[in-house]
Amino acid sequence: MKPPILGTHIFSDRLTTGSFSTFVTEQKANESRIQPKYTGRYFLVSKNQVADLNAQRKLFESSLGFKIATSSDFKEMINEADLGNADMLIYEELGIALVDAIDEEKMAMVESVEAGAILIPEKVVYVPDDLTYRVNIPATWGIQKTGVYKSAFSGKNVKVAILDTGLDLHHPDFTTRKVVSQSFVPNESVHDLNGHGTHCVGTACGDKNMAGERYGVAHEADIYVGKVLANKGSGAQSWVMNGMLWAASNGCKVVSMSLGSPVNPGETPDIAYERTAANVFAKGCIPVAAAGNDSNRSNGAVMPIGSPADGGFVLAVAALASNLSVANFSNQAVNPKTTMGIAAPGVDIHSSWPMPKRYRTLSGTSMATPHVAGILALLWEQFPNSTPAAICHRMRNLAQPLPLLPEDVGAGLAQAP
Amino acid sequence: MMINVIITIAEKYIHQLHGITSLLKKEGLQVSTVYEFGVIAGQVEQSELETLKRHEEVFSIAEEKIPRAL
Repeated sequence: MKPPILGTHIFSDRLTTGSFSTFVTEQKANESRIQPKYTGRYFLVSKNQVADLNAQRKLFESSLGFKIATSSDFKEMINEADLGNADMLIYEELGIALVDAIDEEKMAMVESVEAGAILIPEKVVYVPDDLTYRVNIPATWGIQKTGVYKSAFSGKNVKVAILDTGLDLHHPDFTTRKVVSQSFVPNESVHDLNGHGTHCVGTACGDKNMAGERYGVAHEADIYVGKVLANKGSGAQSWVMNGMLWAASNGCKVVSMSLGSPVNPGETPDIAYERTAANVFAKGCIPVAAAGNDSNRSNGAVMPIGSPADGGFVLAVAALASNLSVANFSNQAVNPKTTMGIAAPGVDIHSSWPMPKRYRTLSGTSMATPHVAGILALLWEQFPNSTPAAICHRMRNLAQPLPLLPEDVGAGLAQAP
Repeated sequence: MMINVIITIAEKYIHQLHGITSLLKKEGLQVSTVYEFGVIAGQVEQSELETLKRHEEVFSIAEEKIPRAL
C-alpha cells in the first residue's frame, strides 16, 4: 500500500520570522499543498453487516485484482509497515476497509462490488494548534513585555484586592494560595459563575499554568477577592464603593477594578467615586481601574475614559496589543480633568478561568488592569514603607515610553521593578 | 417609581452629615449606606428628586451607576 500523503504542521512560532500579514498570505496560498485535509486513500464503509466486506474479499481480488490484507493477519497490532503490497486492508470487526489510492474508475468498481457501501476519504491528522502553541513558552506575552518574568519580586506579603465577579474558589491554581473573600452582591456568594473575575485574579496574582507557562504577576501576593459584580457581569456603584473601602480597611495596598460605566464626552468625573478613591488612597491603597472598551479606533471612534477610572486618585489603565499599539477598543483621556495613567497588555491575554475549562484567552482593558495591579504589588514589596503617591510616581518612572499619545497610553507600558 | 441614587454632600457641610441624612430621610430618602466622606447611597421616588436637590447642603444627586465587567 502506498504511504498516505501527509501535510506539514506549521507551528505558531513561525510568526516571529515575518510579519503577520505575510504569514497569513503564505498560509492561505500553501494551505492545500502544505496541510492537505486528506491522504489520497479511502475508507470503504459497509452499510450492512460487519461480515459483508470479508465475504466480498474474493470479488475484490478477482474483479479488481486487489491484494487484500485483513486485521486478523496481525497478531498484536496493525502496523502499516507490515502491509507490504496490499491494496486493501479489511478491518473485520468494524466492517471497514482501507483502500489504496485508486483512480475514479476503480473507485466506482469498488462501490459496485459492495452494494450500499460508501467511500470516505481518509483524513490527515494534525497536532492541535493550541497544544503546540503552549509548548516551551516560559510566560505569556504580557508577562514577558512587562518584564515581570525577570523581576526579583513576587508580591510576597502584599495584599492585593480584585473587585470583580469573584473567583472560582475550587480552581487548582489558587487552592494553595491565601485567599480572603467577601461578596457585596446580595444573595450571591463569592464563587465566580461568570469567569471574568477568575481571569482578572489570575493575571494579577496567578502563577503558572499546567504547561509551566507563567501568566500571573504577583504570584506570592495575598489575594483579596471582593465580589462587586453579580454573576451576570454587572453590579451597583455602591457595591463597588463598599468593596473599595473593604479592601483599604483590610490593609490592601492595591485595589484592581476591571469594571466601569461608560461616560459621555464632556462629562466630569463622578464625585462619589472620587471621594471614595481619595479615602482609600489616604489609607495607603492605590485604586486601579480599566479605562474602558467603548472605542472603535479602526472606524475613527475614540471614547472617553469610563467611570471610575476617570476620577482623581484612580490609576486609569489602557490596553495594548502585543505589537505595543493601542488596542482598537481602548478609551482615551478626552474629557476635562481626566488623565490616562499607564498602559499594559490587554489583547489576547491567557489567564485562569472557572473549571473545568481552567484557562481562557480574553481581550479588554479589564485584562490590562490586573497587569498593573500586580506590578504595583511588586513595587510595594520593594518599598513596603512607601506611600501610594510615591509608588505611583515610581511606576510612571519605570514605564517604557511609547511613541503614542499620553492621552492613549499615559506614561507608557508598565514595567516590573 | 423608586430609583437608586448616590447623593454627595457639599464639603463644608460634611461635619453635619448625620443631621443632613435625617433630614433627607424625612423627605422620603430610604438610606442604604452613609459614607463618612459625605456620600449617601439610597432610594427615592423619582418625583421627590427635585425636593432633595433644593437643599444647599446637597452638592449633587445622581442616579446610581451600573458598572459592568469590561
